[in-house]
Amino acid sequence: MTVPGLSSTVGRRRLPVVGRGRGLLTAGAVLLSIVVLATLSAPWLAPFDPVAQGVGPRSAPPDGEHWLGTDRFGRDTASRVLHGGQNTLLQTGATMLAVIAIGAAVGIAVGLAGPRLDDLGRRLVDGVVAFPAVIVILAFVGLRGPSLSAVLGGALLVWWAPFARLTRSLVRSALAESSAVAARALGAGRAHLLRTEVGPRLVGPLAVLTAVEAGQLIATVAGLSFLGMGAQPPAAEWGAMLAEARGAALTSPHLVLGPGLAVLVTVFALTCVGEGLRDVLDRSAQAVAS
Amino acid sequence: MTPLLSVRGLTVDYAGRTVLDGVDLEVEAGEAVVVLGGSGSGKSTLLRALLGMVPAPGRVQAGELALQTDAGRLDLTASGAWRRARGREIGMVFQDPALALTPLRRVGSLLTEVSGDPARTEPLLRASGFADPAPVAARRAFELSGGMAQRVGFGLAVAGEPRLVLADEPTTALDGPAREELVTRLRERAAAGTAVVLVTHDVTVAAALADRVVVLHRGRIVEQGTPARVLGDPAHEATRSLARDVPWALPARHPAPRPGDAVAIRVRGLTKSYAGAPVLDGLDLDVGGGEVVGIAGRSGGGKTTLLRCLLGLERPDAGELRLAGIDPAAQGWQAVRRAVQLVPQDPRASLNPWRTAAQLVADPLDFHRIGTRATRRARARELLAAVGLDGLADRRPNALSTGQCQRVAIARALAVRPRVLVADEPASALDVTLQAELIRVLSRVVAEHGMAALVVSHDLHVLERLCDRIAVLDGGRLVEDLPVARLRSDAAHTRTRDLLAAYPTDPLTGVAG
Repeated sequence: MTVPGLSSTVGRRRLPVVGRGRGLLTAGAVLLSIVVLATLSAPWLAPFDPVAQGVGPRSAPPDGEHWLGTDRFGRDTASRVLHGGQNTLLQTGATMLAVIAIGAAVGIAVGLAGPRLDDLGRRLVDGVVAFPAVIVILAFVGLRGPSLSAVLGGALLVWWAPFARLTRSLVRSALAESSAVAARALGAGRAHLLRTEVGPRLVGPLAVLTAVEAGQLIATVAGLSFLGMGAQPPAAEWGAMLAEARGAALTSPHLVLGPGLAVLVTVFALTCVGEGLRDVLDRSAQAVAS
Repeated sequence: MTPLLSVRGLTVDYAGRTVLDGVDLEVEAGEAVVVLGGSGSGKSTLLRALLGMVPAPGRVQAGELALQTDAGRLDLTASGAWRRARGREIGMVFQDPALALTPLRRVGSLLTEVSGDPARTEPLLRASGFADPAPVAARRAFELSGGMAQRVGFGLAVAGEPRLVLADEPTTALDGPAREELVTRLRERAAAGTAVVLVTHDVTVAAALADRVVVLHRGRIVEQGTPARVLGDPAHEATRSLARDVPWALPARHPAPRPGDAVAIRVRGLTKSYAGAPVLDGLDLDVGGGEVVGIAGRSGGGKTTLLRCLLGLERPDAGELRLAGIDPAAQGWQAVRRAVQLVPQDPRASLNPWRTAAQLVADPLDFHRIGTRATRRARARELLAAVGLDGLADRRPNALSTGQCQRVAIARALAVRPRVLVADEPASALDVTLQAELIRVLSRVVAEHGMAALVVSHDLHVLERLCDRIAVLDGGRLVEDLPVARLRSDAAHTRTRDLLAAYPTDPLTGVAG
């Protein structure tokens, strides 16, 4: 006889969690690939030139020809959103790769260092993490003049720090694992320890952090472009488009729709991927442990 | 009289794999029941099912699962019943006491949470074995030593005056004297009318504690009765293996004298202190060529620190080391590690989960740049075959049993043909049957290769079978150093006598008659 109270509490409490990680990850990955594929194939997908004026009527609401309407110069919003994604996603993506590389390198160096250097490095990294990123980026933009590359350059100065901090603590805990200690006692050198003990333990957490931080970076870049610090007209960029749309909010409210949804969907997809990865990796880590 | 705990037809499966299969168990008030079983017998699952804490995706089915209380019969399968029962009706002693206590909370506050009355904290601590409870109550859980944490864990289990105390392998993390103390406390509880259900693989504990021994094998009860009957005259194969295939039943090592061999380990004046507290205090130690020496001692006696200093994982404050004739201070640790290799404490945790058995065994050859990729691979397969693991070279630790992991760890230590082996509590993470197997494999390889070895352990039974000579470490110095044959007759130091008392020649003699 099945005891209803027992079996179902076990089932109710646990199963949704198990399902959640995979579901989130899949949903996030599908959304993200749609966004990335769409922006990458913008030259073929986009019906019009993103900067050409007068390809349609001015400030027209969405219709069959212009799916997201047109702006006050008669430019096609859908084409601008698709092409704008290239600026936003590709450049942000490159910036993310750079900050991961810098962060991981700093984190590994500090994690392997002796106690005094470790202490110094940790304070430095914590200091950078504690500093509000937007202020550093604004200062950098102030020096270099407003442009998308100035915003991303500023981000490069600070965005590596959370990666360095996470990497350092992962390196430390990986080297304290029994298997790493045993390998050291048998004669393993640093290269082996990094490759076999530290490396596999870095991948999961860094992937999660990347997804979360990428979402934030995209939101920040779009936000600064919205304030006029980033991409400059007539270049299509989601944040800059939102800024333009704001100016015409009373007459053509539909202009917010395209870039706004694009930012929303991208950040949401990245967050889903991050959260989903964490759930899935947690469970596979448990499976490895048991 | 109705039994305190009645279990009928308890079945637990994990995603279709049956772990417990129709277990019936009745426990009377004041009865101490020891559930005996090897790894994978389902004994931990039984305990978790009694506590309502079977992890996902486990599915529990039971014809009856009920506890007799003041308010009548409590059906534990009813919703919310566990919450009323845990702590108040059922207390639990956990396997690793240090992990079971919330580290930042004070002992007093932990106990008050369960007992509900701060005034009971001191009597509880006193009854758990603390002569001076006040300072202990003020400590935070992370400040406790392993032995102290076990006492506090026991105090917590009984703080709610439960009718039933469950204990999950509570002795595996303890050394002999601490294990005896815990068994005594549980006996006192049973005498006071509490029912005790303890699961273990250790027949010694069963012999010392049980009114009734229940043997679990592959999820079924195969035998039960008094300890004298079950352990003295086992009827089932599983019981025979648990009671007979034990370290103390193995023959002692036949020392092969190898005169003329270089000194394997020479330690002079080794000193190390942490935060001003000396852990090693001018320790001297010699291990001759081809000699196997055991270092015994209680937890916290400095064994681990000595080992870490000998492996170059810890820098001593003072002292001279010479390992396999090599001075690490002058020639570097890498040269030492070429000749001295480690047999680790927990074989599974010591193996990188992402690497295959063959890679793990070939790794030390790689570390010391011995041979080519092809010869390393061939040597790894040869070594795996030598420890009885042919055909498993491509498995990862997850796909190996604990016993197989242990063989991989030994093969790994042998790869560079070391002159000296250092073993860190090599048996403490294993059940008795695997301990016996470890002793057989390790004695064989040490004898075959004519290696010297230093074995650090609190388990005198293991040391007596593996070693030629046993030294006892206490307070940072060696207080006893005798050949194995003379240890039981000539030991003079009280610390040695305590250890010998906790590991009698045959722990089952009293029971089996």
